[in-house]
Amino acid sequence: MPPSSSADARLGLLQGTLDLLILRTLQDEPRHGWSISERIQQLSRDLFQVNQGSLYPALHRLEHQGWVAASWGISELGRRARFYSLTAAGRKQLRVETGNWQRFTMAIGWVLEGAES
Amino acid sequence: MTLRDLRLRLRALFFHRREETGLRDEVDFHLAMETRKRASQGDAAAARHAEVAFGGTERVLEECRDARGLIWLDAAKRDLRHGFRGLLHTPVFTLVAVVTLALGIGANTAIFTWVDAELLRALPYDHPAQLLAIDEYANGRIVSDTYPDFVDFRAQNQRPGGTFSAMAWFQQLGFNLSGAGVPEVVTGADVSGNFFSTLGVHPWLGREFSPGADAATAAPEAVLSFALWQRQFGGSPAALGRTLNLDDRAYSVVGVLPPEFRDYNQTDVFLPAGLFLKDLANSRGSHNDADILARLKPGATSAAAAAQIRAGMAALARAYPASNEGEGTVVRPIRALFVGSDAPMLWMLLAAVGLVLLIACANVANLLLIRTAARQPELAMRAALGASRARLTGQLLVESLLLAALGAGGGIILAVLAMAGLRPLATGVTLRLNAPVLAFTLGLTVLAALLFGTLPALRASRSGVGAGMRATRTGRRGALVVAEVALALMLAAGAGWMLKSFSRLMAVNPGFRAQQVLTFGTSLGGPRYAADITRLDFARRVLARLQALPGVSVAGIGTALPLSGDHDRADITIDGVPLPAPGHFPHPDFHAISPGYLPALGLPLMRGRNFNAGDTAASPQVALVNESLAKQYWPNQDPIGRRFWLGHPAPQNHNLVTVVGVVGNTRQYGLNAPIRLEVYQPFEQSASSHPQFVLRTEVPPLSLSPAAAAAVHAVDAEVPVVGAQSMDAMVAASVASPRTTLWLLAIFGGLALVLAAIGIYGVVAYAAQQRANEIGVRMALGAGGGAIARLVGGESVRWIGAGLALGLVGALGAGHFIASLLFGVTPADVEVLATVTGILLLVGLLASAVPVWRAARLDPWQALRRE
Repeated sequence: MPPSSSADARLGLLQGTLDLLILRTLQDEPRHGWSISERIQQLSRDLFQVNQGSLYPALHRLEHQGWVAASWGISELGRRARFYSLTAAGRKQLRVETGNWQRFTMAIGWVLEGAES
Repeated sequence: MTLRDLRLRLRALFFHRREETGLRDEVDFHLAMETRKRASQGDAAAARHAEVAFGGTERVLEECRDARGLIWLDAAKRDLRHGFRGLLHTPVFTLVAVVTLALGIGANTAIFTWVDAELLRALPYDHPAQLLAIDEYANGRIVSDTYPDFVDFRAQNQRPGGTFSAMAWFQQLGFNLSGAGVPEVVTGADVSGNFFSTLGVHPWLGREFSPGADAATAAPEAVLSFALWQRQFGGSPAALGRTLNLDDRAYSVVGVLPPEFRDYNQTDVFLPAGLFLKDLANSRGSHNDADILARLKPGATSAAAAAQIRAGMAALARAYPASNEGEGTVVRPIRALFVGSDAPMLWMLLAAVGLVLLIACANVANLLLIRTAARQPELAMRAALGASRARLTGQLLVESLLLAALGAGGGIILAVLAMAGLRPLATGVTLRLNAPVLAFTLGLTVLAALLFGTLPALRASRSGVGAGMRATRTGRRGALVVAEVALALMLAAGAGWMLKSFSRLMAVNPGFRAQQVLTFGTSLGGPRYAADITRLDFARRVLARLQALPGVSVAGIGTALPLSGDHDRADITIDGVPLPAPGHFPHPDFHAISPGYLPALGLPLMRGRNFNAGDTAASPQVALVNESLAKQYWPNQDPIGRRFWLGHPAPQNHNLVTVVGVVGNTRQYGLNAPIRLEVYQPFEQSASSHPQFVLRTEVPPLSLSPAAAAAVHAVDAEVPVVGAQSMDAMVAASVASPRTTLWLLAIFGGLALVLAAIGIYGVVAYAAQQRANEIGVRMALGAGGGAIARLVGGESVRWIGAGLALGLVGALGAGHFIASLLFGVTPADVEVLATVTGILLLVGLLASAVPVWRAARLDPWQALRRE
């Protein structure tokens, strides 16, 4: 995914990591789509800018897979918004994916350091 | 596919619109939030930038839909759209296929509606399977029950081991309803107090009879049918408590039955049997239109019930030999009372329309095969572009379903039209499209689509990339021709049997001259007409007025007119012959007639004299008998002056009757019914309360019916005039069922012939076209037109021949099942089978002649250059 044109310092997301980040932002509380993208940006210290266009297909895919559940609620603006929350299966998936990611970054780190244990 | 997946997809399918608006709302909300954020940061064009950051809205929506598993739905939609477009591309093919299917499906739907209404729909009672009808059996036929027997059966059932939880009495009665509006003859019934509870029917309005309905002290109460309530009281709840006059006796209306209630006699008014106890209680020997309806205890079998009743009747025969000896019992499911003689006809018609649909499917399959051959390049291209075989087969099946659905749509319209025609024939039931019928049609549609669509779809997808249709053998198509010819022959044979049967029926001499005769009935009920003299007086005065009407040549009075379905039977004892065993006395029909009856109906007097003014209540009792009775009981003797007793010999029986004449036999119960024994008595000596009038007219009979009704009402305005019709119409009505069968089978047979002809033409023409190349080569090598005709035609003749042989076998097998519907003809009738075989051969040859002729005239150069 190409980096956003507005800020060169920002990073594009690695393929496949968006689902993990979405699940993570929903760990604390249910959120609507816009708030998810804001939260990811905020937690990444503005390094990540979510491609907003790919966020919604991802949400619908996660719902289809049963990891998040959606319901209509009223947003902080008083408008009707679709809120997503983690399901039990989603929580489990988040734990698995988090573990996978940590092992992945650890391995990448070791390779880059070039030091053998 | 997991369950959850399936659920979501189904939701996506059914809640598509809601999902769509939901998606849009969600995106709009996002853009609003983003715009607000950017605006707060001082972005002048916040809305536009928000949209840019989001990326194309439509693309995102599309991706969301995909993520929701709508691809599947869209593919089906695409196939449907594609199918529609394909069908529109070949309008002639589509039209022929849809019309063919509409005819097949429509005929099936219409006939099934009738079958469902008459034979399948559950009777509107509680647990109808537990209900049995108990009837008595004497002289080789089913007779109705008698009330004393009912009381005894019921008492027997009280003993330990009784198999019935309840037994109810139902006797048909006719009443003159008067007091309001036009006097009407209503169908009534006297029923035991537990009648409604036995059937498990509850009044829709009001209540059942008060307790004690079986006692002579029963309250005069009436429960009405929904129809009578609508007719007489306009459906007003105020009817409850109102008074109804039946035969000048007042009844208070206490209840109305639900609209869906029906019994087998279309009864309008139910009265407590207790009120009729005087007539019922002493009637052990006379059987009057009554049935016992009984409900089995849970777990009891009808075999045990039949054994119980059989043993019960044996006990009654020992106790009352005079009336009950020689009588048996019949225990049947209650439905047997509803299903008349129509059942075999209906099943036969359903089978016939099934055959029509099979032929239609064969035709459409054939058309599809040809069409897929023409579409081969398109299919090959799609296969080359990566469409899987399953995908191609699926697409072709979707097209077949589409065709079948269009056919079903047309078929339902045709069925509704056809039902208007069937309605007068299906008496006692209402024909309408309902859920079971539509489910049947839906099932039939899918079945038809699979029948005609599977072979072409498999064939088309198997050929795959690059393979032409060259490999197509004509064998499969030949099989279609064989099947079509065989099925069409079976249907045509059915129509042929019915035609011959009907012509035999119409050739039967009814024994009377039906032309130029008007008949109508009256009904004299109530205390005013209780005395014989009052009924005689009424009849004489009406007869005098009728005789004086211009256009009437002779007027007569009778009872139980031929073909009217009425009858009045009793045992007689012939004087001077040994007494027969109980149950084997002569049991003729009785008629009470005036002297004008014989000339008015055109009944021939064979010997002796007609009644005359000298035969009165004061003169000796006399009678006319029909030829059958005379021949059977006084063979080779002069019956004039012979005597018989009415009823059984008993010391106090003074009813000795002298025969004064012999009348020709009549077909009293239908042209195909056997001739019975008939006795005619002078009306003056046996004044019936239901005199019927017969007028031989010099003008069209029905034109006199207003004047005739006026003549009756001039004598007594309260007496209803019922069923005025010409004797011709009665004859026509008596053969209505065979006529219906004949017409419907003729229509189905004709349809089958046309469809088969189209099918044969299509296959032969296509085969000839496929072999054009070969034909060209043969011609170039010197084969003449005759040789080519033999080549192409020989094949179709072989198919047709095989079809005819198969069809004859099938027809003989199927004919076995409909033999009971035939009159004077057997399924093996050579004339019928030879004729229909000849017709089908001719149709088949004609249908293949055109393509064969065209092949023989083919220009070899043209044929070869086509490659």
